Amino acid sequence: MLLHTASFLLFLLGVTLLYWRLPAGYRKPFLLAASYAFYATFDLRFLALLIGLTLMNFYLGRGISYSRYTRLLSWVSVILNLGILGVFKWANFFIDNLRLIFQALGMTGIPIGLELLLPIGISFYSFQAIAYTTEIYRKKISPAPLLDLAVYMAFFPKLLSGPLVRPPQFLNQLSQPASRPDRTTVQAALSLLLVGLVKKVVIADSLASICDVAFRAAAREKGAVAFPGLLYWQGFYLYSFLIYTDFSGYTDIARASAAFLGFDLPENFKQPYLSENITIFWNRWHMTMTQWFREYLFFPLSRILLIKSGRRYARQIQIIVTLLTMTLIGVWQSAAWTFVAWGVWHGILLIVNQQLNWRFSRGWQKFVLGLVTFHLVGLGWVFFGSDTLETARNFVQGMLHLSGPLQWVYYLPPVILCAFLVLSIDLVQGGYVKFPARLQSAMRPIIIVASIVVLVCLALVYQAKGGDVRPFIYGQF
Amino acid sequence: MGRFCRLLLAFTYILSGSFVGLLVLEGILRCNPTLLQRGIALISPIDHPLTTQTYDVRYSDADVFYWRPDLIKPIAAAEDQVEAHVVYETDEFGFRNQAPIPPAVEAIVLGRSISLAAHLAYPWTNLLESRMNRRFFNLSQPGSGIKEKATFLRRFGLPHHPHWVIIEVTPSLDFLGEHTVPALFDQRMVVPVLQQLARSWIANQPVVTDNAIYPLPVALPGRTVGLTCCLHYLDFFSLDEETLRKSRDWAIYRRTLLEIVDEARSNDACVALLYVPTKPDVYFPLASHVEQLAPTLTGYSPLRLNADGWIEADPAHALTVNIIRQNALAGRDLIESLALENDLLWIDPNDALVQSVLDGQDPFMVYDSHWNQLGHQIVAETVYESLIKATCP
Repeated sequence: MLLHTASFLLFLLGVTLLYWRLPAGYRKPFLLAASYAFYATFDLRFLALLIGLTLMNFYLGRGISYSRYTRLLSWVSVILNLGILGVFKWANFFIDNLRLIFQALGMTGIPIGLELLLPIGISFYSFQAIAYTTEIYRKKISPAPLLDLAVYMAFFPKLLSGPLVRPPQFLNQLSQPASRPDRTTVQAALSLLLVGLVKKVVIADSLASICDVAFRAAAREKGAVAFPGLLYWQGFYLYSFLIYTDFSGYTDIARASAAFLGFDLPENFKQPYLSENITIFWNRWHMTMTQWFREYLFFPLSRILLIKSGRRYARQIQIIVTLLTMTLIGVWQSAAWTFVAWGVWHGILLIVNQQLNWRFSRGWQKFVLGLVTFHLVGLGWVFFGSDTLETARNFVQGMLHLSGPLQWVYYLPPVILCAFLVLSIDLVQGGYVKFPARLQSAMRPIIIVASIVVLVCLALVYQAKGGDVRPFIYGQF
Repeated sequence: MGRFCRLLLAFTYILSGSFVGLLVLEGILRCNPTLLQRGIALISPIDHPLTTQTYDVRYSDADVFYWRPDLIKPIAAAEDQVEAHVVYETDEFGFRNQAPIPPAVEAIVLGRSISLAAHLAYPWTNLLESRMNRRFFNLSQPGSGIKEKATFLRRFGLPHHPHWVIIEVTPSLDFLGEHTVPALFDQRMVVPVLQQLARSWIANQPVVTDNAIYPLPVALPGRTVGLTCCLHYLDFFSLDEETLRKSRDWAIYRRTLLEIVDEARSNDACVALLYVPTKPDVYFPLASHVEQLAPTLTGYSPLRLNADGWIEADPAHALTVNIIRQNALAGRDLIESLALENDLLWIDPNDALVQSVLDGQDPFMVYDSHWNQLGHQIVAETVYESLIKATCP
């Protein structure tokens, strides 16, 4: 049951109506039951894993707080959570690469791969579990009641692809009596839901998905460069829009769903493509994940290395830890060398930006730098979207090799339409463009009706044509 | 604000919002027509680019089972044979060609489902490519009329500097449907979505086959065949050449066709017209006993010219097989004369197809009006002979 489907919207409606009808004491158990039911629609085994992880972290959390082995249990928690994630996510990657090494060395006894299904959302809830036990170790929070922890881990709006909510942020909301959202909150949530659906269904699935062609061209064994260069440039721009609208659309739907239930989930994206440099980009892209890595990896590791080095190599440590963090962010996304390359690429960009430390005050300079940043980020997305390094290489080569007829009329319209829709949403949501109040109140209902018309028509088109619903990209991580 | 004003305002918002929404939807469908089903006439190809599909085509996959399942007797599962194994590859634009398309090609082919041949392993274009060892760029799409062909040529064909532009002509499908419809919006804005829904609805309707007539036993010289054909365009054969010539439908088609010719020639390409004989063209004149064909006309009325010069149905009169046999080649003769007047290469495989039927073969799909592999081989041979004899600098 994906978040942009009619079945989820009906589920959300039913859960919301029932939730507010129940006496306060029954709401948490109901929310947990609904979240488990939601997750069970994917696979019952996934649910068993989630429940197991919840229980494990519950007892570890209590152990960290109440036993003598605080530090040990904290490390056990990290190792176990990462270990479980690693088995499902990275085991086959390592075995495959080990196999290549064995073959290159002419050795026998090639390890057998594990036939494991990747539980949807595991990257997110395992990281939330680590955050939970770490916060207990740091004495920022006390161990939560089992029910609260279970709801924190399984809360269905954020279960599949985040946002990664910090334990105090969510557990505090759970511990307070739930207050029914007022009219303003409901209106805001409905708007956010609509924006999320437009981003996912209209832009990501129906328009930007055209970029698949460029990746298919690049993945061909022979003649990838023989395709028109414009094909690759179209794919370059459309994939950049796709990954953004797919993921931020999901987050919008998740936040709106949570808001209906009286919960406030943090923002995950803040118009990242309007950033003027890469550091600002990473302060605006998948913010909760960046904060997680910063909080639980970058700062602690930097601190340890600085202390051990007597604070003598601060600059080098910053470079190394930045590169390591970004590489691990890439690895966290998925188990493939393309994601490692993506992480390394962003690490290099951040280091260069940190070292150059350019500051521009003029508007046109910021604009130019912003464009450059967008294209550098886009280059990273080529690796993100490619299935192998060779495909990514072919893609970039294709972009540089402007062969074939320059059929702008064919390749440009989807890019322009996508860019227009994405920019319109971002400029308005980000407050960069403000309309007079009267114009706003006149345009708002028109835009709402237009969005609903497009969504309904596209839903009918997909229904009539048949075929599987296009999943969220990050749901596969 | 009074209640009436509030209602009026709400109505204005809904109308404006719907208009904006439909505009955005139109933009999306134009940019990504693969969202729609194959068979809907669009100005862009509807298959996903750079994909390969492998499938078997059975008797029951024929058009007639979709459009008029009530007319055809159900096929038993054991008799539902595979007619073709197909490997359907698309190029970087979504047309049926091997990718990538080179910067210059020997010929552009502008056709409908007949030359696309999604039901076959080797369309005539593929056969000709192998025979001539030159690249053909097949821009055929199901349901594409002359306007779509013009757009395909401009957008995809001419940038690839073709030596030849071969235009498939099926008079019974091409000459009709060119009425200008007064519309507030672009006709396409909602039509493809409605077509998609209609197709989905049609496919889910219960079928009653009490009046099924196909396959229809038809006696030909030396044998009897079970004929299945003749869907919605049979009434076209009620028109004689003069009526066609006077019609506004023909005038619009002719004008657009000549625009394509001019455009192709100004880009140094030669133009050929490929006539597409259909089952009625080939089998009707050969039928030994005319009355055997009468059941095919159930539900049809002849066509006529109305006061404004448009072709329309004439339900007051009856359509007979003799009328059809008389006018079977009216459309062909009209387009042939156009080709001769404008010095276009005229390619007509009708005689070759008729000969193959007289030789005891069948160049059409069993339950379908499209050419089968034999039909495409015959057409490829005919086109080849015409091209090598033609003078094209």
